[in-house]
Amino acid sequence: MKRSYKKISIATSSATAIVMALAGCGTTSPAQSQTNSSGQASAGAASLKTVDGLPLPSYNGKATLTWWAWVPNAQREVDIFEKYYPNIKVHLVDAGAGATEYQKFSTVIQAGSGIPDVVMLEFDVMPEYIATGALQDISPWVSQLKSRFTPWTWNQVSVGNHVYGIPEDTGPMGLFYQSSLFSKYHLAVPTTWNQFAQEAIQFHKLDPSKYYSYFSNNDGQWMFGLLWQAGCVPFQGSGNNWKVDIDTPKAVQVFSMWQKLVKAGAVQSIAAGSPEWQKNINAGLYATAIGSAWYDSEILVPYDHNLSSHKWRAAFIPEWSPGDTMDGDWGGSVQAVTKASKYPEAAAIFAAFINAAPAELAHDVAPAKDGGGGLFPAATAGFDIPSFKQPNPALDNQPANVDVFEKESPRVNTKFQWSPWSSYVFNELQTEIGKAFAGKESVQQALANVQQAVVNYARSQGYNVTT
Amino acid sequence: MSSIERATTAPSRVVEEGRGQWAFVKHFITVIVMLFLVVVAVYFLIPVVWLLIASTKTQTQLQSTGIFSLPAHLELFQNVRLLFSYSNGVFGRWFVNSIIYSGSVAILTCAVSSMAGYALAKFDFRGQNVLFYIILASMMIPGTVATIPLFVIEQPLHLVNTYLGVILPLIVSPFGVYFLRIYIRDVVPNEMLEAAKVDGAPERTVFWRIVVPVIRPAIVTLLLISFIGTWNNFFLPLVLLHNQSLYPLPVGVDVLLSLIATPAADQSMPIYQLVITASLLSILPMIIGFILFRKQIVTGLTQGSVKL
Amino acid sequence: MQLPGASQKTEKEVNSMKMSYARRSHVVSAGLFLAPFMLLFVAFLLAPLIYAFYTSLFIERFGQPIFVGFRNYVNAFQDAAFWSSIVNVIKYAVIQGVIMIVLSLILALVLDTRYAKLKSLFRLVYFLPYAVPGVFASIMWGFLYSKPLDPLLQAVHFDPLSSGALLYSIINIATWEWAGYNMTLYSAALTGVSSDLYEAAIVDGCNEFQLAWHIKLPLLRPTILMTVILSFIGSMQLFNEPFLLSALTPISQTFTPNMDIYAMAFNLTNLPYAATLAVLLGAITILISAVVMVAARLVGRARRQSEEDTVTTGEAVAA
Repeated sequence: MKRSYKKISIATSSATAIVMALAGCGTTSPAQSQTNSSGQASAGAASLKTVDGLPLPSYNGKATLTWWAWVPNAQREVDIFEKYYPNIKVHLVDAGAGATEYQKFSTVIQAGSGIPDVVMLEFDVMPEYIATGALQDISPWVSQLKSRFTPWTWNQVSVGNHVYGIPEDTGPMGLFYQSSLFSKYHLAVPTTWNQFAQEAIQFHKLDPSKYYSYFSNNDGQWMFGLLWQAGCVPFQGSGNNWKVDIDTPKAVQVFSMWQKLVKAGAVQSIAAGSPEWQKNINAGLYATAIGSAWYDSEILVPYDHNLSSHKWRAAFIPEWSPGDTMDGDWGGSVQAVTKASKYPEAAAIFAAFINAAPAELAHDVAPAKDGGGGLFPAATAGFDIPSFKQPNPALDNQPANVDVFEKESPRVNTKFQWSPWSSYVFNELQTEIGKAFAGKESVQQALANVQQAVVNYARSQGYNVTT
Repeated sequence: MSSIERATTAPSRVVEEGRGQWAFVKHFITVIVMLFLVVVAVYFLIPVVWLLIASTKTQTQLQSTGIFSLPAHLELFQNVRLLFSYSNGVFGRWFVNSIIYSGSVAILTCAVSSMAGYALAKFDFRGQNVLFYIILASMMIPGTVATIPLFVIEQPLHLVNTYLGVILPLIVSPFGVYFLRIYIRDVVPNEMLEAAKVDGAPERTVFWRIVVPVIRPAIVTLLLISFIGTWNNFFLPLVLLHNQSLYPLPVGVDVLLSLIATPAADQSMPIYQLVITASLLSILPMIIGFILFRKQIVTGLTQGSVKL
Repeated sequence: MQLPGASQKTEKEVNSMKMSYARRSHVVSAGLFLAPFMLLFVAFLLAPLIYAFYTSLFIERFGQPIFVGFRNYVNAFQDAAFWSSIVNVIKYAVIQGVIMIVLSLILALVLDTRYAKLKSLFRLVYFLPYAVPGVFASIMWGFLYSKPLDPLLQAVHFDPLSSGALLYSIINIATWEWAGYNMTLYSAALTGVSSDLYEAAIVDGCNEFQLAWHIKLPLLRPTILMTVILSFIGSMQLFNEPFLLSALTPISQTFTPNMDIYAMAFNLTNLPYAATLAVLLGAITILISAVVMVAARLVGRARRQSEEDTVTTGEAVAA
């Protein structure tokens, strides 16, 4: 999944869609003659046929769909799909990536025209768009596919039995390190955060011209990934009722460690994506990076032109207690169907096919520079694709997907939820942590401020918030 | 010689000596003043000069060479070619769009504002002053307040994401009406209008044949201000448009800029080069236009302000 | 002679009928000339403003609006991030306004003295940034502010894009963009001053500096006031520069009120609250502008009063 670092994040307004759906108002559409009025998923209602090994509704009408996505080489996915469903034409539009696309999406939704049928969204904005009623419940056509996806991903696109999108890719987190530097200075790959911190200080003494790692001070999504990996569950709830608990001792511990390392000069606090950061990546200034399964294809390949001398490799993410196996997710996307779509069934079929059909998965997981999607698939069948298992030339020929990320994927904490106000939360967290790292306040105070701001905003917008 | 110099040149021996000293002081001050002016000029030119130089470099050269050093091989034409190959030459489209928006808004604003100004200046009707003050007051409203509800209002009118949707709101220029009303009131003699009406000329002929030629300088002023203002406008098209092929230059180049922070799968598109070259090509026409039409522009702008 | 059957009317009545007919067609003509502007004005300026206010009285759930009266405003008054963004732009408006207007005045005045040679050339150079849209000014300066592209910065260990320096870096961009424009307005006003005034002053023995300070500056007062107010209104709406720079450095989306409004509308899809903040921003801007104008008028009146007093005192003394 392509990442965007222009970090204006998305907030969500969950509530009513869920409330209304649960109350039985349902999300029916004219084309949906086969759902019962309570909107319950009825997989058997749509007559299924097997398409490339997938049980999908047979679709005999004609449809033209508009698809907003920023996946590399997405047109290929369209071409493959249209071979299997020649009666469905798909028009791919590059409406920008991440926040840029979301802003456009918000614009067209509010304007009521120009809304795409299928739209690429990240997991952290799903609660917002589900709640604003922008997305279509596609469970009548796709709920039979649930078992084919990594469980936590299906959770994050569903509310109860209602499904609002098909998970596309995920980003289980891991540690990336320059093995060339590690062998040069005889460093061991850290398995706990304690080791990470100690080694960071050590390394900085050994080579003051470099940093042991960097802290993305402009990426709230990444910061929450760190909390996710630490076992934090800052948001719980659905509909109008949420529990917000951001400033926990664990969260304080996580950011305090990073603060200490930044202060000691061992870790650089920097805006990921900025010109300076790009230059530093290329110069190999960071001995390690906390990344995720797509880090090599989204970051290393585009920005580091000296991969062969840096020799990056991937490893398991450090743990807070020795012996723990807890991971978080950073990034990952969904293909969602919009409420405004005139062809919701066709759109649902398309979204499901491109993310679960073996013919598509082979393309999806192939590296981007080979013309593929460069994705770490949410559909577990993707793990069996040969190209997925290949040694990764960007990572010194390590088969990182098999070695590291396929193993990390099931360790991602399934309890973690995103809030309906992600944009607001990210902005607050980035601002406050920035202040804390600049020495203007303690980490404890920073997180308390974020907690209060988020609770106030949510309550002002009519949510029932408990802490 | 300036009046000061004339006044201070008086013949006398004391003054002869004083003149020598005075001349020295005068030259000294002149040097200081010129130095100051040159430094300020450098300040205003630095970014443009840097842009010119940077657009001759490739991505790697940008990061490795000094900001004012030209590379051995000027890559300017390659950069330009690269820019126009991006996304099927959408840059050219943005350029044309800017011209369409700015030209249409400039012409239509003048037409609409001069008619309204004429009505307020030369016609007598109830509520005329109230209307004028309402228009005046609306000048104080920050334009961006209305922008976001504007695109919601444009939806039933099917104007969202269209050329007209951006052009029509920009024609509304309370300043233009205010400015032309004052100008017409001061410059167009009532007698001329009376004479024409007595001769039986219909109102529109009076307006077109008599008023307009007389107020031409003011119209030129308003044309220029509207054109430049629309050319520079970023927020309105940003909010109202989401189709890349409708973007004017500022919004289009912002799209390129935001690619900087997005890893591009296609490595043949070095974003810095694109942004820099795009910026250069975007500002060159206006700068050249300014240099060529400097007199008209300055006269136009200053006439406007003097009348105010 | 009147035709049979024609109603009996006095000449006065006939005349007044003619006049009211002329009057009506006069008014109709006025209306026709005004119509295009009024139509557009109502549709594209008034209607959105009214709609903004109307929207601010609701919140949205699942796309359905729910009427909440002024609750959004109550929440807005407690919205710390919004008010700090207001403080930010006011601070910005004042500092940037002072720096830019002082610079513009100095340039205009210096270029009006005999010490300045090549006046036209310098006026052109200073005015050129007006030809550059704000977007590109931000890009050019943004790159100059970025260490990897600007080795000078590396040497100086100064990051213009850091949170402490950011506001001033933006002030620099805005000053660069507008100083020449304001200078041109002042220069124009200066050339409109009659040279007799200068002659009189010179005979009295003024040098250039005194000329500028005691004569030109006071004459520029109305123009200065106008530029102050326009600059202030523009500054309060600060959006373009920080929005573009946020591609190069992290900037809080509540850095300026317009950014906050934009984020609310397009990132949080919270249009009613965005409308609320927009209404508040507009009200605050208008309020402060009105206060400044009234204050200026009062000061002007007081000054004129004291001048008259001096004159009358002088006359009294002379008598």
